[in-house]
Amino acid sequence: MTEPWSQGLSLASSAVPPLLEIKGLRTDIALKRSTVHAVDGVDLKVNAGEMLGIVGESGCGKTMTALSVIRLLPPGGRVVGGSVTLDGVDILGLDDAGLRQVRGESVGMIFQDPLTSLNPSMTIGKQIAEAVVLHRNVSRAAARRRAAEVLDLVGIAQAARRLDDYPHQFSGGMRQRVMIAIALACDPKLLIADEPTTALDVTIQAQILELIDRLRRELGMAVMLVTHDLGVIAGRADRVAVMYAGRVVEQTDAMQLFDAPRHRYTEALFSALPEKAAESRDPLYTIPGLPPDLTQPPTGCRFAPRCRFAQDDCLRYDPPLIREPGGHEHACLHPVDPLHRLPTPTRVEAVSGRPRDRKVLLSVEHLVKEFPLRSHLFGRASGSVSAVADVSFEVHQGETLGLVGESGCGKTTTGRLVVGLDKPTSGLVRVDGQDLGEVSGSGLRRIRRDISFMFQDSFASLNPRMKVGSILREPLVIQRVGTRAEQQQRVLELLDVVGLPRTAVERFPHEFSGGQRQRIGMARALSLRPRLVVADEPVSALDVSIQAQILNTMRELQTRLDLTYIVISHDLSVIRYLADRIGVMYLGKLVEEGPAHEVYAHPLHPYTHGLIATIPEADPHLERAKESVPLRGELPSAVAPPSGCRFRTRCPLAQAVCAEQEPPLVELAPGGHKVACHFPLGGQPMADSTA
Amino acid sequence: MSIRPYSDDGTIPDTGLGPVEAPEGGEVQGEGRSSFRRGLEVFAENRLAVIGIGIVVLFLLFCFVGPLLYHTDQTTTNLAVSNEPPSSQHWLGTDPTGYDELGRLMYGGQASLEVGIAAAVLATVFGTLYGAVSGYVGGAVDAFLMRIVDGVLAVPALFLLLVLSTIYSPGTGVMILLIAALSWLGAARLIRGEALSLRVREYVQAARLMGGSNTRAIVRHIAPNAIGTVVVFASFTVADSIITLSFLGYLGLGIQPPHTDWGGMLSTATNYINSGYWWLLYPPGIAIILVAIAFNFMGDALRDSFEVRLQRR
Repeated sequence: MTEPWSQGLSLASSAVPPLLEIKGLRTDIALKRSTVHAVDGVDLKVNAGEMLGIVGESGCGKTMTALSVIRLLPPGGRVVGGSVTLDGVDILGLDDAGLRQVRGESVGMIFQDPLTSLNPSMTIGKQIAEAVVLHRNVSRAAARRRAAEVLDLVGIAQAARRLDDYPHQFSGGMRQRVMIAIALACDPKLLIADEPTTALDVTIQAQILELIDRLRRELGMAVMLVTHDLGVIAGRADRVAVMYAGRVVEQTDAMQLFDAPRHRYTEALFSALPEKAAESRDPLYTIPGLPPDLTQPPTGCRFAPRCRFAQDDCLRYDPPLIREPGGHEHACLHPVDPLHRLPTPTRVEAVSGRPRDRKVLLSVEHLVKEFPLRSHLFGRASGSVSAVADVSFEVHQGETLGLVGESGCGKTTTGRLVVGLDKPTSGLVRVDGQDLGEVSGSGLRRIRRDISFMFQDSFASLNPRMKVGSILREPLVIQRVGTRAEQQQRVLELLDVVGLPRTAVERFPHEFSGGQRQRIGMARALSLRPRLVVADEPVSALDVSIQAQILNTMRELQTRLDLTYIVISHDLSVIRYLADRIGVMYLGKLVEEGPAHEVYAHPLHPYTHGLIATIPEADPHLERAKESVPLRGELPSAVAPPSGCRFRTRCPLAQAVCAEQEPPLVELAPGGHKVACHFPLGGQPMADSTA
Repeated sequence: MSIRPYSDDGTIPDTGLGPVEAPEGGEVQGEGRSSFRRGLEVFAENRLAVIGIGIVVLFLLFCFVGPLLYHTDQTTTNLAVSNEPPSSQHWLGTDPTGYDELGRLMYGGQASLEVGIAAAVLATVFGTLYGAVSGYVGGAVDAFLMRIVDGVLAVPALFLLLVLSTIYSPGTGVMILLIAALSWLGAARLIRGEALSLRVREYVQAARLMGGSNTRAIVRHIAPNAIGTVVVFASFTVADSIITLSFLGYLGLGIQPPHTDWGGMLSTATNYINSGYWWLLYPPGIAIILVAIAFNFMGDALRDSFEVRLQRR
């Protein structure tokens, strides 16, 4: 720890008092019968103008810590100990009037979901002005001027004219900008951003993060960025605090944390990221078990039960947060020795996929799906949403096709058409040579055994009134497979296969954790022994450590059961880990398709290039080397898609021909690497994938 | 090692996989109690609901068992003892026609409770079926069925009740049919909305993907998830029906003498409101309020017990 910058940092922090200082903060949430100790002794500091990232899995207390700063806790929540000092003011000692002054005035807050954070019946101008009027003694006209000013600041074009628009007239990304404008209206000294980009597409996420970063620099504001995404933290934060089970377990400079983590939990989190093994295709490291129940926090180190390096003393002593010379803080009895860190998988030159020597299992030909827009039942269709427009691809037996794209690009609709959940407007889906549209009755029933679907939301897709045993038996009952006893036996085997205890049979879905429910969904998808499984965002709702477990299980079952997958995800790193081939969709079109490593390393379509460059990677060096946001703008409406190439409105390379002619999907590179672009990128390697 | 596919004769071959020693998905918490048990626990935890049940049971005993212990003449009038205050002979006094007031309260309560419960059951059963068909089938059938509901709702309920109760001589049976004829509309709309949202749930889609039939979707997935709404609606409707009946009785259009209900008794009492005959006014009034509140308490608690997420803990 002899880097000059870290010494400078510690000197600076001792000289100037920090803007925000949290000491020994403890926050409880009272439930009906028990109390969750959500935050249990947290010390944090945020200096003026600094961005502090707080990272951790869901339920680790990161949001409660942020909310405690402005005492905006959910019902039952109460700060029971410690102190919070903001700019010299003791927040916990304030009365309600003082507290209202601090909220909005000194602290601005952005929440996760921009769709529900804005009042739909008020113009955005009024909503921003409201914040100004509440804290500043100004006239309505002045407040309105200020509203136009901050709206302009957050990058909304023609700000003054949009003041009288309502939230529904803005897209999700724009609404998050409006939320930021409200938070900025009174020039706060501290901005708390709680998962500000989790509900947004990766391209919009990059734009919003850039905006927050720019505002911080221009306005000299401190930012507390709360997120579960290590990639989001890596590029933007100055310092990072890692939280686990209501405690800060590690806190240091961002570079330091990613280069040389000391706590075993941080190290394990990094190892579980799917991009770590994307090229080598080794199983991901998974953190076994679940985070502890915070109603009865365990004694000793809270991570010890899941830690592969835990020793006897870890279970007995509660490790304090130790400050090393250089300012690196961690709470671990047996920290990572920087010299003997587990080898990070080096980025090997990708092996050229598995050979496509097996027969074609699924072929999709000129698939089109349009949803008519009707005003009422007997009304004439006033137009239609072009969800999938002329998509063709083939999937061979035993291979995985990953479909990626922003939300609204038609990837989920394609998946639903493939399994027959929706009927295509035109085009064919052939499974093993049989046209899905032609078979009916017993033939269709038969073919249903071969294809199954894994839903994104494992909670919504499991009937809450059925026990897991009945849920898993249902496909067998419907297909009249086996006797009752055989079916029950089969259910137990399925539970074994997906790694759930056999006692799960008697439980209801709500008794399981998110990851366990996704395993139940997987077991149900596998119960009829399908050949093709379409998985819609199989891990998007899960934490990194649980995500790794599910991804591993999916990979393992593929080889064991000879499954063919279509994996739909907005997360390219997940797709890259699972898929043999990647299909990139944009506004209903398949714009690029080819072997996974080829598409990733040498994208041909400018959209694919932009998409790959936008993904935040958990590596501060790569992140900070990135120039700026590669994909501007947002997805156009699918009701009236742009003429010619649908991507032309956002494409940096667009020419006149792009508006006139639609580019066909043609094979440009070996391995069946196809692209639909008039000006393909010529297969140059991407700058940031060779680092 | 791989699981062999199912054979075509519909039997399941052995997979050759043994049980897993330590499942990597982790253990499950909870005790695996039945849904009913858990619902019952949530219900029992709600103190108001327990009070509600207590009140309903007390009134049922009072109205149906009470007359066996406290004998009164409720058929012949006796003007000689009209409007007597409470005494050892008439515990709650007598009414203007000389009927014993306490006995009348039991007698009138029988009609109120019978009509309330029967009308609620009838309205809920019919309305649920109607709404479920409308919502699940959807499309033109839904539009047609719902326009009928809109049409009936467009006629003022009070007007309809008044006209119908003057045409038909109001007895308990007629009253049940009349009140049910107005209450089923609410159930139909409620359950239709429920069916509309349930039929597109992912677990219903999943069942369809497995090749499951419509019948299966309704019986296994939609009905069990809508049952909570149905039961809650029924319990609220009991309270509403008792109030509607009282209200008709109050207007003198309810059950006709010598029979009566609590509303009819209130109507009689208001004629003497300035005479200080409190024993005519308070007993039926309090009875109506208590029973209506009790059923509402039960409805609230039932809604909680059917909410699966509240059962988690």
